[in-house]
Amino acid sequence: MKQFLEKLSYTKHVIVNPFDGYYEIKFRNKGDALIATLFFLINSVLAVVSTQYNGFVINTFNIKNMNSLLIMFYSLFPYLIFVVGNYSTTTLFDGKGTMREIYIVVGYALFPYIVSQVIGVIFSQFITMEEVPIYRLIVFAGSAWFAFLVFSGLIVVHEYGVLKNIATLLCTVLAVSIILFLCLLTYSLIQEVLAFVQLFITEAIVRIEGWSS
Amino acid sequence: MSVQRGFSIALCLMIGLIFIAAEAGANAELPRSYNYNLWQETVPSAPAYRLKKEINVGTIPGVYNFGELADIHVGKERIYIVDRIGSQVIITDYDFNFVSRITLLKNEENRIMTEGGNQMRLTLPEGAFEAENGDLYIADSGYRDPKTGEARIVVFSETIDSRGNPFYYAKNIIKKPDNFVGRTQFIPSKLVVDNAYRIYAVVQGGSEGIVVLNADGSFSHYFGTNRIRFSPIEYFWKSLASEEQLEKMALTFAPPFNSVDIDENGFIYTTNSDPRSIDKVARFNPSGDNIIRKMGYLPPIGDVPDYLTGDESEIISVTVNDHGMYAILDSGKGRVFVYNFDGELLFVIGNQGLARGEFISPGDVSWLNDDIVVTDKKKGTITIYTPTEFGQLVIDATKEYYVGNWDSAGEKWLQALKYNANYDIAYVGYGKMLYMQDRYEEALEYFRLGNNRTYYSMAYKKYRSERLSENFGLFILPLLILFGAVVFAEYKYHKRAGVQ
Repeated sequence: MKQFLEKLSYTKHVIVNPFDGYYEIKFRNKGDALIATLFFLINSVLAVVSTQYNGFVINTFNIKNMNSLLIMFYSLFPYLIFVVGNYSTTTLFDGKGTMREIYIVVGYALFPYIVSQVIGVIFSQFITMEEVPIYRLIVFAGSAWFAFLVFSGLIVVHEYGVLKNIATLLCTVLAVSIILFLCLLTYSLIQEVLAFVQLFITEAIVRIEGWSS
Repeated sequence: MSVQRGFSIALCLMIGLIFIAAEAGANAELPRSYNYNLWQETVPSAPAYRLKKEINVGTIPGVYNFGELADIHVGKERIYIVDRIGSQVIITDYDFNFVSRITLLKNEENRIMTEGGNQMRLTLPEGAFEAENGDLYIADSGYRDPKTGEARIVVFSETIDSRGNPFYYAKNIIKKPDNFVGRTQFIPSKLVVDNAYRIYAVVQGGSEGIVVLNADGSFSHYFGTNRIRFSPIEYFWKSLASEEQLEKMALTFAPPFNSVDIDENGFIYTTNSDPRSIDKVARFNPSGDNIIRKMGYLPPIGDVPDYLTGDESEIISVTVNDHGMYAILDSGKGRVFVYNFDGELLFVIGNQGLARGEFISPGDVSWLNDDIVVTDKKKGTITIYTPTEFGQLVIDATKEYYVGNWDSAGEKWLQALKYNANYDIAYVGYGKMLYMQDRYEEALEYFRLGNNRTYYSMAYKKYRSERLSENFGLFILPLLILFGAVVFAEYKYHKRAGVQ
């Protein structure tokens, strides 16, 4: 427990010194996948919180269509698919990072974004239309910091140069789109199979009823 | 157990029956109505108008040889019903009692005018308009001039014959002006006349805009055009094409207008039903710019378009009253949409169907005081809708707001809310009154209920600065304490450092 808390407090070192911090995590075991998971979960909960509790001025979400589980899923899914996509491309490009390390990089990088969202939700309660750009700036700063942390973290864990990292990130986009395509394909296939099974059962029931009467 | 169950089922059934009965009763009395919310979903609304009368024009005593309703125009005391197929204009009073009819062109001596040995008569007229001085302008669309092959506008004026009977004589016949320019054929179908007796005529298939004629019948200029939406693909190919290719490509013309009306300030309202045009309803200022206001959840386009099928309202007619409220008619679904000056949808009236008060093939819409009059070409009827208590409150509130009586408008909005709690405009309207009375905290609540972020933001700004100045001490105290603590800590730290 104490070790966990120590590792948790190490996060603040990582987010201001990403190169050093991620290095320490990779080689001196100062990070934990559990902490990354914690950040992922907090982020998805915050996605729900911000859809519901953002100030009225910026919140145009139709509360009647709210589905917390779906929002949580949509806020987790892109990160996880990025982790998988990045791992699958970097293994082909001599990346030294394991899936666990990429997962930790992305998870730790979420911290500034989480903070910016918390600030954003509170700040948005007290703003008028003219101050909406400030709110946007806060959230944008969090996202930019997040992007920078992911970028530098990937450089460290894969032991890449900047250019190679950019190249693999572009390939990651490709990989992610392929994964999404396959997901869709599987989804529609399963749907059709299920429809077929349903049709078959209906047909069978109708026929059996026909025989029995 | 089973007795209890049976009883509860019976109770459920009874309650259900009561509901069904209530529903049926409500349906018989008043049609269901709807409005749109911020997310462009339909929201049930209390009906704002109910059917007052449906008049079969052919059966009005005095009317004969009735053909097809083309246009209705409500003048200052008279109603002018244009019968296109019957080639006549039927004139009635506000209660639709027959007053007169115009078929032949007569001169001031009540003699029928002739042209080349033939009696001059109206030929398939399509539009009529009563000018400020009571003159009646009729677009004689079916007439073909022997020389130009184009139509004419006939100006009628009422006078008394030698026996003291009033009749209409042809005061002026306006044919295609000699100084007319452009490709447009001079075949006016709908027209309005402004206070300076300039004629604004919508011409059939005219893509150059509304034809404006001076009071003396000479051509003045073209006025206003519909802007159209380009698809990106079309734009891309056009940008690639060479000059010769461009010449061969079909030209895209601005869609023609299909109706026109003029408000008290001389602004021209027009409609068109072309799917490519950006604005279905336009309000043109004197220099021909469209200045229609679009403050509502939707711009004034009728129903929410179906983006998949491209199905949208076919707006064919517009009418505007003296308080900036305008109604547009959707011929596809047989609905009338009433908007306020800001372009917020107030009511949706009517439906397509065969029952009384429904339309098969609606042709024209017009205000008759606060009532709304709709003509149906196929049924040959004029349908008069009159406001319900709710509708009257909304109309009154809109009028009061238009002339600047915020307080009485607000009270009316609050009453309207009792009839229809889904009515966002009423919440905002009452909120505006509270805002004007500096009751910002209450205004906030009503703007929030009315889903209006612009006004909410305005009210919140006031409310916040009020709260801040009230609680300035409370707000500044923690900051002062924090500042003091920092200074104290620094002082102690440096003192200690100094000692070492």
